[in-house]
Amino acid sequence: MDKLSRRQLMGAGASTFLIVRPQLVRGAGAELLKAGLVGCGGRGTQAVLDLLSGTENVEVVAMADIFEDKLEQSLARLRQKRPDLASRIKVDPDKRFVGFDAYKKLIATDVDIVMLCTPPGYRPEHFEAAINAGKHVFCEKPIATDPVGVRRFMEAVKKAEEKKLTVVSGAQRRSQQEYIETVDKIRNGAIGEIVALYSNYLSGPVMHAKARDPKWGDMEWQHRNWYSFLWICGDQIVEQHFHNIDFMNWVMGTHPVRVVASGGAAWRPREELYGNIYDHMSSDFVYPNGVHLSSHCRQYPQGCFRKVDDLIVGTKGRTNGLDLGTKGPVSPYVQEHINMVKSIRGEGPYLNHGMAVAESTMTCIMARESAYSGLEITWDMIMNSKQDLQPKAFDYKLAMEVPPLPVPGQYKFI
Amino acid sequence: MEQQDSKSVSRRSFLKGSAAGASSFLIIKPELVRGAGKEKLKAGLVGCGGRGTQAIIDLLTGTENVEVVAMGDLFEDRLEQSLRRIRDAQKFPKIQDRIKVDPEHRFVGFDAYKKVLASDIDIVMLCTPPGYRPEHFEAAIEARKHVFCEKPFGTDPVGVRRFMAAAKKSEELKLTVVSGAQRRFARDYQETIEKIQNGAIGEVLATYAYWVGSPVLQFLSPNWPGPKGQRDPRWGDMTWQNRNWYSFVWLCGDQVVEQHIHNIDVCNWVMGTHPVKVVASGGVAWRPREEPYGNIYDHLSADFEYPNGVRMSSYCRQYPRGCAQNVSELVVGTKGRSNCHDMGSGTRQDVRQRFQDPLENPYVREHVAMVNSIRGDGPYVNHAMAVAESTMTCIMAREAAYSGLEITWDMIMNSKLDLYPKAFDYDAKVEVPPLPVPGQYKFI
Repeated sequence: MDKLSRRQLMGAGASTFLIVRPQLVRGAGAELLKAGLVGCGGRGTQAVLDLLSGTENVEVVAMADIFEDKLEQSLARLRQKRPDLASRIKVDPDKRFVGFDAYKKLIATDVDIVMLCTPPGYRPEHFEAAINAGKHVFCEKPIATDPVGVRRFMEAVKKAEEKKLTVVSGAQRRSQQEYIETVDKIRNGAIGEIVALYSNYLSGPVMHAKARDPKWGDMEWQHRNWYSFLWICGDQIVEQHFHNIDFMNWVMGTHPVRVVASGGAAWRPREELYGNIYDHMSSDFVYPNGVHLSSHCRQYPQGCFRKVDDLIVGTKGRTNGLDLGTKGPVSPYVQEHINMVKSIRGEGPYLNHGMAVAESTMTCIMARESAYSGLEITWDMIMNSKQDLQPKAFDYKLAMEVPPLPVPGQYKFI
Repeated sequence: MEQQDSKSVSRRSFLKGSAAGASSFLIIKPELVRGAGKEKLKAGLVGCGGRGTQAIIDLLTGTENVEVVAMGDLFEDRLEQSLRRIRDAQKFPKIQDRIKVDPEHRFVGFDAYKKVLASDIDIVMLCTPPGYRPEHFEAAIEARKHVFCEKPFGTDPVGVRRFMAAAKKSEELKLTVVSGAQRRFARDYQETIEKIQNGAIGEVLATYAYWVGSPVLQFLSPNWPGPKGQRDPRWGDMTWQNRNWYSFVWLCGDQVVEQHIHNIDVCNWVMGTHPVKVVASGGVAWRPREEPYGNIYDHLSADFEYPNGVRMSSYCRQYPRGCAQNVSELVVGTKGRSNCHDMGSGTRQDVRQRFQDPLENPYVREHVAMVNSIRGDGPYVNHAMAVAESTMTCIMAREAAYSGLEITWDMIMNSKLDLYPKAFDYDAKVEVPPLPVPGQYKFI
């Protein structure tokens, strides 16, 4: 009944339009917005601070994590780090949800915005639930770790577009003025026709745990040490190098059509702590117009050469992606939330980065599967891949085997 | 020895008096200096493996009045096998009368190369595994021989610098040096790269080099002399490593040096110089950590930068059957792109026809060019320095991958890395260093 009347209210053009709080459809002004955080790690905690510091009349009212200690730690840090924002952190004890279904409980509250900041393996399921519930989403990158997950995410994105739900990704460059202005200038011919692209994410290892507590079951261990496990992090090229590759896709206005990649574990010891991800990967992507993206990522120990950068070479010049733009007034990590809230309130353009970052996530997965298998992988192959890494059951004590480090020639691409 | 010295003194003074421009000019057979016409040339082969054997066939196929008169190898069985193959009159009828390797000119041992060089030869063909190249090349130039020199020219910076010093001498002596970087002699490459250098694709903005190939594993080859797929327990380390040389860094240099040099050399040729720095990553993704697989990587990707900021994206690997394969080059310019052979008169469509005509086969053409250079029938050819620079370029990338460091040209040119054993004996103990681990491996 309620639904019907809203539909009628929205008119013919919005036949599939379905929202929880009609006053929050775009154009509703500076109405109070309530946000909930799913995934209270370092990234999620910082995202809350960035959201609150850039916006007005936005409150955080619910938090969810699979570990109580993580949630409480996050809450303590939020209050301690920015006392000036504490009045807008209103997470009552009954709005602190712990467990594998915590995200469901959070989505069932009266939040307007859901911030999805768990490790990326969970993103498709969480995003789907958030969109089904009619929530606006701040969605950390990457948005999945396998092709089945990306496609599930893509389906939900289409729904989000239909519902005009705002989706902002944690690909913060898309909210960074220097990048935005540089891309505009590239599009307007500042460096001529693009002929070559280069991206590097040469950095240090990300280790969330030092050792396994013998009391932990496999599932708990893998969550506590999530960057070492493929199903949950997607490997570095997906989890981290994504930033560069997403930028290149943005510059090119599309995704590559094929890739040949190589990689391995050159220093990571074959020990439990180090899981089943590679420590380096180099990829030769080709865009539809034949332009190559030479991509290198690695996580090498201290003392090794490090740089995170990009280069776009055109017939009339070159740019690092930033140098044709000017620095924005606020950090891109804050700007992305400002833009999100403006989009929700109709004070700025409607934002939905869902499909673009889903394609970039798939681009990264395409390279990873190429390196693992030794095959050339095309966009069609990866879009039709049946690879599904998501566990079928969730429990802290669940036994979970870690697949071996992929060996090219033996690893089966499915 | 003494006599040789006194001889060279007399030649030196003779030459000094004759022409100022030839002050350091010193040749064994003065009649063979460039311009001497179709004088008979005698060649000797050092390293009688597959590559050396084929090189002899190619040399004799493409030229006239050239004979092979001496052969040297570490292993008698390899030498005899090689001789049997080139003497296959059914397969190679036209070259038989010019194979004149009598038993006393078949030298076996670690000093076999010295004996080949001491024979009455004009050309020496250096076709051993590359670890030996600097020492052999230096000796060949000392002995005033023209050289067919298989790529690469060393496996470490100390070796390459030793080679470079001899290369300078070879230029002074106007000795001909042709390398086994055969793309430099492929007509389609030559014509295309000339057009690129003349602006056919505009200014070059990006270069790419690929050797995405398959493993080279001697211990699995059909003519492996030991027990199938294994080390013969009677073999000392030195014998084992020489027999199975593609698995050991000191002998082969790793794939980026031994094989990928072909593509990297093409990019250096196009650019007219070598890169100034490189960052590279690599490792062992499939090679089992077992003795026969030694201490080389199975993949290595490098991001080189030339002095003008143009990059060379380089990818090499040796992956098992079923994996993607691609051996090629790509150059992208302001006005177009080229695979470095598509603007030549003999394009890849003609590849079969080209190989039917031996004189169009780059592996034959390199010997024709060498003999023409020696005889003065063609331009003087000395690729020693160019291919030495390409070898160093490859080593620079290897060391970047092993160490995890960015390596500059200055760093590699000053590197003290010297992998060459200090003593040679079939039973010598030669320890295999562990697989390099970035962050632990020390670049020296």
